[in-house]
Amino acid sequence: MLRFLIKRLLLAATTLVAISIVTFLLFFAVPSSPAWTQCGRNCSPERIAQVEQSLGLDQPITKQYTDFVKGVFVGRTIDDAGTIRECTAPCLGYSFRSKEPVTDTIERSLPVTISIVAGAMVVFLTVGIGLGMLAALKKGTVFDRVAIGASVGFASTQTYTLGGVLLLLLVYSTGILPNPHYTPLTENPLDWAGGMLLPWITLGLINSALYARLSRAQMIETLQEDFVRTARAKGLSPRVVNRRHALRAAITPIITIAGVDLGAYLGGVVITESVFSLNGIGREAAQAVSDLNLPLVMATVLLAAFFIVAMNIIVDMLYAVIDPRVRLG
Amino acid sequence: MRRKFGALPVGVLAVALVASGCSETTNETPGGGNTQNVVQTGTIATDPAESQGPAKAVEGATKGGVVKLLHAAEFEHLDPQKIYVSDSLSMATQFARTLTGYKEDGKGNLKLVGDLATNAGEDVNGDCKVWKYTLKDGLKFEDGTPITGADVVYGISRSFDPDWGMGPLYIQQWLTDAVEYNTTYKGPFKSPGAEVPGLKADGNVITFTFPKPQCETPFAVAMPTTAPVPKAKDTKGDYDRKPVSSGPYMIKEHAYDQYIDFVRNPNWDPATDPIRNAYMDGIRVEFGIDAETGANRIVADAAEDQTAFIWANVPAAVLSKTTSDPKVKERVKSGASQYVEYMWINTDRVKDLKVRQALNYAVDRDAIIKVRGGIDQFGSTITSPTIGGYQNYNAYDGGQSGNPEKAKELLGGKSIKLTYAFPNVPVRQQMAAKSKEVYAKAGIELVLTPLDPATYYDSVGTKGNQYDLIRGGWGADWPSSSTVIPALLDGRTIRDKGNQNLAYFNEDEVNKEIDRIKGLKVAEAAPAWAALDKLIMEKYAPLVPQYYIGTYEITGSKIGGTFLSDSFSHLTLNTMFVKP
Repeated sequence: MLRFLIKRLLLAATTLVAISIVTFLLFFAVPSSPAWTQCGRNCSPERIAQVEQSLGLDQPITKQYTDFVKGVFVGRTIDDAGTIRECTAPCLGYSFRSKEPVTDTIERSLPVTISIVAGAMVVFLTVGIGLGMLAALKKGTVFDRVAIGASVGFASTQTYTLGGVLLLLLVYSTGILPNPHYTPLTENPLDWAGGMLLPWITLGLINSALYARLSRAQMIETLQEDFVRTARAKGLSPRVVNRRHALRAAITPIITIAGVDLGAYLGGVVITESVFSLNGIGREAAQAVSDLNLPLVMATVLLAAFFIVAMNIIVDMLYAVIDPRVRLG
Repeated sequence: MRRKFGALPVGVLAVALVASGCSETTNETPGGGNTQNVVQTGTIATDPAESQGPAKAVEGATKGGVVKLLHAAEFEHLDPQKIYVSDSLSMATQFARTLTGYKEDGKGNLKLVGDLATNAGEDVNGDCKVWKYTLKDGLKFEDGTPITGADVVYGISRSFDPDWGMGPLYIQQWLTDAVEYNTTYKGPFKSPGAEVPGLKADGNVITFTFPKPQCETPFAVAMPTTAPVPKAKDTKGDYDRKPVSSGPYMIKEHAYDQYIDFVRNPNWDPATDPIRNAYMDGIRVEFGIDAETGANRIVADAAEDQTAFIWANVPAAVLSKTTSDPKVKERVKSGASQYVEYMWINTDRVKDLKVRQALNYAVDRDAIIKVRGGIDQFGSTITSPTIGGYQNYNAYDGGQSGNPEKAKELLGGKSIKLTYAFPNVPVRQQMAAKSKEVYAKAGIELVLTPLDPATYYDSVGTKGNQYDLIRGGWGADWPSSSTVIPALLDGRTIRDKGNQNLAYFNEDEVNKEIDRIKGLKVAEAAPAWAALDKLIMEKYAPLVPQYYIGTYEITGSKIGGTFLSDSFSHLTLNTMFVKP
């Protein structure tokens, strides 16, 4: 187990370094300069040069990259046009736009994204897996057809369609739900949940469809396996067979997908955040790309990569716990 | 025409912006309801009493409550010496007072008065070269420190920093008489101890000494460049996040990209302020809410949004909701802005005047305006109706929807093919497609050339580019053509890159006239600019003015007292109040 973990962690670190280098190179391959977005109305070639200098973009790429890496581990001092800023480790740089450590931007926007994703996951995992399992057990019945038919319907809508329609129906027209907003959970748990309800329902419904279909297929397949037949033959009650034997085996591949999904969502749910005007990490990332705000682009890309890599490791480890057939080594 | 003034001390600016040529435009917009008439009565106040506080009470206004601005994105800047775009400018009026400011009543009466200063400016020798401003008594920063002339001078000095050239550059360029204004003096950080050239503070008196006559100084000092900054509290680059207030509101909390909470500044004295009523207890700005969401929320008028408003046009998708329900309609404020939309004609490439005239005859402004939902207004002049001295004319009158026959006649049967560059964003694509359709009727084929929006001005601002026609627009910095025509059409400013003269138009006759008008006093300059506007179009046609960009903003049902400011084209906070 330990050897496995060390191997995977080394691989993860290599992945992150590779991604950081590629992002850095891609950024400089873009035929534009972040200076243009900051130059304002009086822009002239001289001003562009000045802005580039103040952003440190006139330095060689290798120097900029080593500065960045140094900042991550030991921190660094940034001279922003005469304003000296101490950026302590782990320093991911100073945002070109907000003039604050990028870590501050992340600290502010990540909780929003985590709130959206956590609630939505609860919705789509319970609703999705629950419906899928039931449909599998009642294969061929009306319930099966309705549940799976509806899931196809939801899976084919998109966040911007379903979200927009729900906003119109539940907020703008009737006022049944409050405007989506973010209040920290620690500040007011009720308000936190109230503001997140609509994103949870939207993201939850769309994704639960996918999980329902997946878990139905998995469950049906598992129910035909030899070990399930053996369990039945032993005279175990259908309840025990279904729950302790079939479900546990059927859920393993679903956990893989849920884990990777969670990792991907934590990196930012851009469309959901935009539709509901929530300032999460996804919108920050999208904004950073359009502003060519390199430090924030780097940070959000690395963060998203980190979540995916980390979730993959966690999922692999979970296998060992859930599925008795898996031994890590 | 120069007006005669009685009660003025000798030397105090005695001009009226527009003595003649008042024009009235009734706007036909989908909102109808509260369309503001654009009446050109903008003047520079001559009676010092007009610069005295407190501001005139707004009928029915009550104190208290918090208003909420639903805003798409964080303000570009809050540091007064860096501010230059309309939303930041509108916000700055509440925390950064300037030497002069605009007093408005929402009925078209726009008056430039002394804000921090006791009057709109004293032209000491009557030659527009030396301007004197005296600060009022009782002015304080949010921490209670008195505001002195040195604080104003320090504020202006910061705008000289070579890294900070994002704000307006008028005062800096006028003081040094140079386009590259910071080659010698580079601001307080890079030239510590040195004095700003031509600028002096003696106690409460600030004197500007310009090498050349600058008759529009009273307008230039209304820009936030002149906002006072206390040297001891200057956090340099970080000042952009939390500037020290000299106005009625100060920042209590600023979570970047999320929200700003403005609360009352206890050290602001209404008796010193002729412009701001400061009825609300606070202003909350929430970021990340795009215009469509904001407009939808305000139309829905849920309890929490009844005190909300937006500083963006109601988008086309929500427009119908604001016209169908009369109760919603009355919450809309609409009118013309200082911005004008152009199709530039690159005169380096399209040298035949007849072709340029044909392009002007054939333009179907009605069709183009409809693409944006009809908020904008028919316009055929280079400057907008909000400009002092504005005179309406149409040098190539093809009616509301253009005259392709007349254009064909001018072209003499030739078929013409022209490239048209525009930023590759949805609304510009739609408008370009419409233009292509319109010009096809006159036998002019447009080759549509969408360009990357991020580098658009980089591409079209490069001399020798390969585009015949170029999309552009411009807004005046103050209600005078002096911030429009010289910036756009003075051929001597053309350089290799970064051009604003996208017609690459350079005519001696026009350049000379620009120099002449610049030396005139405001009252004489205004009609002269209007005449030059017309002359450029009639004789040279270097562009096709398409429309005056309209403003169409909405408030929640509990907001009163506000109107579209003629100075920044957004709902004003000065007179806004929360209905009980």
